[in-house]
Amino acid sequence: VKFLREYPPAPDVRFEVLTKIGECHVADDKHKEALPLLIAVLDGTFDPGLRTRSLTGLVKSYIALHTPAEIYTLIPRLQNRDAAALYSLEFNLVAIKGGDELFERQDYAVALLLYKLARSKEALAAGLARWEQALQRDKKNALASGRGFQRVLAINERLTTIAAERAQIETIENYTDELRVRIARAFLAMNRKWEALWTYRGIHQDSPDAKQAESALYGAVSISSDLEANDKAVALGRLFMTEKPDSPFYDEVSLSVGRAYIREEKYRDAIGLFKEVLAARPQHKLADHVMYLQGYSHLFLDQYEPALALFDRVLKEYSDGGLAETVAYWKSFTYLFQPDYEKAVEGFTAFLAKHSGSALAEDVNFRLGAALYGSGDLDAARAQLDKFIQAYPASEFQGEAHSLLGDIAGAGGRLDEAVRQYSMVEELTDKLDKINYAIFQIGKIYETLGEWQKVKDHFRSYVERYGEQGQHSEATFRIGYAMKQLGEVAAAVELYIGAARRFGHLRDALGIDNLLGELPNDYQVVKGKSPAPLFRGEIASSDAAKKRTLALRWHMALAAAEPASAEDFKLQPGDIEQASPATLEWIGGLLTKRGETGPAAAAYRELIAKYADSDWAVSASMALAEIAVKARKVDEALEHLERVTEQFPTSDEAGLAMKLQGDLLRQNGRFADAIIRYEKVLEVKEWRGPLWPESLYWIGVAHQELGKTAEAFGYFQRVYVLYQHFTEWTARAYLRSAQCLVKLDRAAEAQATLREMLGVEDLRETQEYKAAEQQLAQLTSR
Amino acid sequence: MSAPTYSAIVGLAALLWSASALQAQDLTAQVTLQTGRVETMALAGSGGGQLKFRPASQQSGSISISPATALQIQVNFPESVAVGFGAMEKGDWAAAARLLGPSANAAAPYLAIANNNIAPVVMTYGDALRYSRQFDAAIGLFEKLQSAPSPSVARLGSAWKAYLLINKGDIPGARALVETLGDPQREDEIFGLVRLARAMIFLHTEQHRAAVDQIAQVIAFSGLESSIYPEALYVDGLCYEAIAAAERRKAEQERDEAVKRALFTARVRVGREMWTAAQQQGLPPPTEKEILAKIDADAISARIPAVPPLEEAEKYQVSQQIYTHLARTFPRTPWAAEALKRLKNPPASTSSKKPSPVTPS
Repeated sequence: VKFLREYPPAPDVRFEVLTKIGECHVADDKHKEALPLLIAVLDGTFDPGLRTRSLTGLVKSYIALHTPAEIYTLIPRLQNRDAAALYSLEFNLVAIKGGDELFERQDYAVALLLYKLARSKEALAAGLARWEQALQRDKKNALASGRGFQRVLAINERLTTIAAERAQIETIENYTDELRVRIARAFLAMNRKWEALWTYRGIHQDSPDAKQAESALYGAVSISSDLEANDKAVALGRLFMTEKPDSPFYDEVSLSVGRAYIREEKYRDAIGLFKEVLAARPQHKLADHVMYLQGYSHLFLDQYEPALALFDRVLKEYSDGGLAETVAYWKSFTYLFQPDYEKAVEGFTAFLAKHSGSALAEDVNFRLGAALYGSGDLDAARAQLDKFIQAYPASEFQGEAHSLLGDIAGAGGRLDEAVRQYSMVEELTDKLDKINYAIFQIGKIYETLGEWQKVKDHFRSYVERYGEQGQHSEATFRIGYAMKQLGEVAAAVELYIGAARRFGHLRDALGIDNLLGELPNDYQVVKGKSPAPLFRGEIASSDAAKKRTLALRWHMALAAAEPASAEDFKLQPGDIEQASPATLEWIGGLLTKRGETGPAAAAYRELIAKYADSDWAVSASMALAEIAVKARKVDEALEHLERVTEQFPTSDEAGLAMKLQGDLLRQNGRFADAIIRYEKVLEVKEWRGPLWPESLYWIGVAHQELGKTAEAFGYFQRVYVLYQHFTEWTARAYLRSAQCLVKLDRAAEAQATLREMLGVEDLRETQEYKAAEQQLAQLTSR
Repeated sequence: MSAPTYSAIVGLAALLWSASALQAQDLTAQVTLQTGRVETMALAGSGGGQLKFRPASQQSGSISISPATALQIQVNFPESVAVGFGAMEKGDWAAAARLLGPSANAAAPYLAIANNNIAPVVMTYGDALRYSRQFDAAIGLFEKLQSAPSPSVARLGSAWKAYLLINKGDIPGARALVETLGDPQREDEIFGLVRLARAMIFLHTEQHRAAVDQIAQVIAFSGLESSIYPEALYVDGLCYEAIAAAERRKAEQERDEAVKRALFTARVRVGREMWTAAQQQGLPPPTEKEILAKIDADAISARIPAVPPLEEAEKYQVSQQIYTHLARTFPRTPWAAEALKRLKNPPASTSSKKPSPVTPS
């Protein structure tokens, strides 16, 4: 200061001295004194070195004076005139240190700003190298163009400074990844999770071997999971699990990946992952969570047994963990869907006794009512549902509770009460599927009572209220049905035609398929003439209006009225994608008859793809299996048949499908597999009938083929002992029994068996009867 | 990321400026050929994948060379370019565009020579055009780059054109162009720009999460010096704000549903009570109007917690934070002005307390 006062120097020296004084003040924590001096330097000199030092001091002072927002005023300079400062090592270190201090003070925005201003070590080195090159070029050009000695000197001075900076950078430890971790933390502290996620990801991508890489990747997985960015959580989590199998974060990461799969409803993937994780890490610190989520995934795949086993393990092995309440709920829930209603009742009751204040109590109270209903204890169910309705008036299950009360009243024959309960559903829920169920149940009750006028009015009112949002075509079909019962057949026919014209272009209007099934006959009855001309006209006008779905429906109706017309039907491109389910089934059958199995199969496949849960899907699968069998594609046929048994396990078709699987396997020499299928047929009581003796018979044949004659004999015997009224299988079984006995060296018993068969009057007309006579004669002559 | 970092280069360029008095139409350059020879030549345009030059001393005639045969080009830009940079710093974008335009347009084809001092001028001119919303002129500039002999320059031109199409509202056109650029990775020069463009497209189509995922990559992997950083911050703020608004709309819908359900329940309960009472007293059943009159709809509605105002939503607050940060960090950009408009409480100017420079006397 004395020097400046007493010997006013040249400007460049003056600013050098001002900078030094400012830096002294900063070092002495006299920041208020430092500020004006450093700003004066910035405003007064163009020397990049002095400006950089001034900026460095200013950043320090603003932070020390708790006015960090002032740093923002420096940014425009740093982006343009003072960009050189960004390549100063000291400035960068001050920025990082300042950022740390501000982060501690929770001034995350300015902390982030300083971190972002700081260059990584590599960028700093590269930037200085580029700058050096540019200066060298400029020096060369200056020398070449003879533009002056002064300029060359200035360039030389800068080159010396840069060389010193570069040398200094070489000596310091790399701080790049630490800086990026700081940036990620600042983003996270500001709730800018996406930015934090990508910053962490970048650290791992760029420096996979750095010490920060593991925690950075873990951070990226955690944030992805938190954001429910499921694809990212899975991809990054899997990467983590592969790269860092010994990491302390492994357990949490593996659970995050599983949760991401579950959020995406990829339950099979979740199960696969959880199995893999538990096998790899028996001491997984979150094993209870893993088992619970694995059980949960099994439940959503309708795999109840493994789900229950896992829930039980959690409850037994981790009874002190925090999951007891949740797992107890899901265990009872599993019983409800299995269904094992008694156990569900037991579970839900125990749950309410133990966790009365649980957030799940509302749900459990409702489900207990449903479980009681399922168990057949209708009085208890009714009481529970009434209690639920009173206790949780705003519950979203109110509608369903009334629907169940309707079912209970209906089952008890209290039809008025059932109608009253169903009627309330509409008022208590806006879920159309629940409303539709209740509305159609009311309709069924009226139909049961023969109150056809009420049926007609009820569904008319429904169609008016819900229009195309509701199941209008099905309702129209019921209206027409009621009208026919009321003797209004002509009006019903008109109604059907009108409904078909109005809604028949809608592929999913399934009621139109139903009513068109009845229309040809009804029309004939009412009008006394064939509807074929009408239907032909409708086909023409539908095609003209480019309503192909409707046109196809009329084609189907025409074929029903006039079977020969089907010969003229030509499948057009796009028909399969537009046809309604009944039409697809009709097309499939028609083309199969014509031998056009390719397009027929396409129709059936479309039916399965679009209407997987409908009865049409069952018949389509059966038809596809038949086509595959004819084409000798055994595995494909098995696939179609298995779909029926898996998706519709209690249907009649499933029994047949199971038996057909046995047949196919047997015909292809896979006898052991065939036996398994036939035995499954025998496990389902609903399939009792001709399928049982046939299955027993074929099990016997399969055993014979496997050389197990004694076992085979047992099965044949069961056929004629238990199912003698099924003459075909009884006759065949007798014959096979005799063959077995002969092979077992029990000729006398064989003769006795044949004699017994020949004594059964009902078998006299069978082919096997004559064979038995011949066989007996041979045995006797021996 | 090596995305456009020309603002930093501009900073360096300003330090090293060697302005000449030549006019834009007479731009000359020192061209270093593969032989090592340095020739001073006038720029004479391009055509057929070739760059044209004229000996500086001659008024007519030209020679054509392939970009690959030149190692380096240093154009002697006129004083107007330096003045143009000054105008950019001051935020006078229209003046900057006017001043930079002739030189940038004349020099743009020569970007095909790998080592050059042209990029800062061309890109700053592009900035000046888009900052002053002269999108058609900007598209014209970047279309020139699209047909440049160098594939990387051409891709840069396409990326910028896509971005500009979005600003003009041509989303399908932009989307189609962006798709041609594939999925550039971080080391690619157009990484940030393509992600900015994608984010803007997603924002237009209300795919907010996809948008924020894209823009967060620009924010995470770009430095403050990137020319697209201010706009990326602005788009980032828009994304958070849009997500907050969408989440609030959903919460409001859910509340409406809950109120509706509660009203339904009340109506059924009151109706049932009135019905029973009427039956017991031998009175006619209650009408809908009578039942509804008994229900205190306001009280029922009040029992369902109201959705907090948007201003209290965490993501909305993040957006405000971003806008504040943008307005303070890049005050001279158009996005700062836009950000200020979206701020509920704009920040007080930080420079108002600037101490006066004092020199010890």
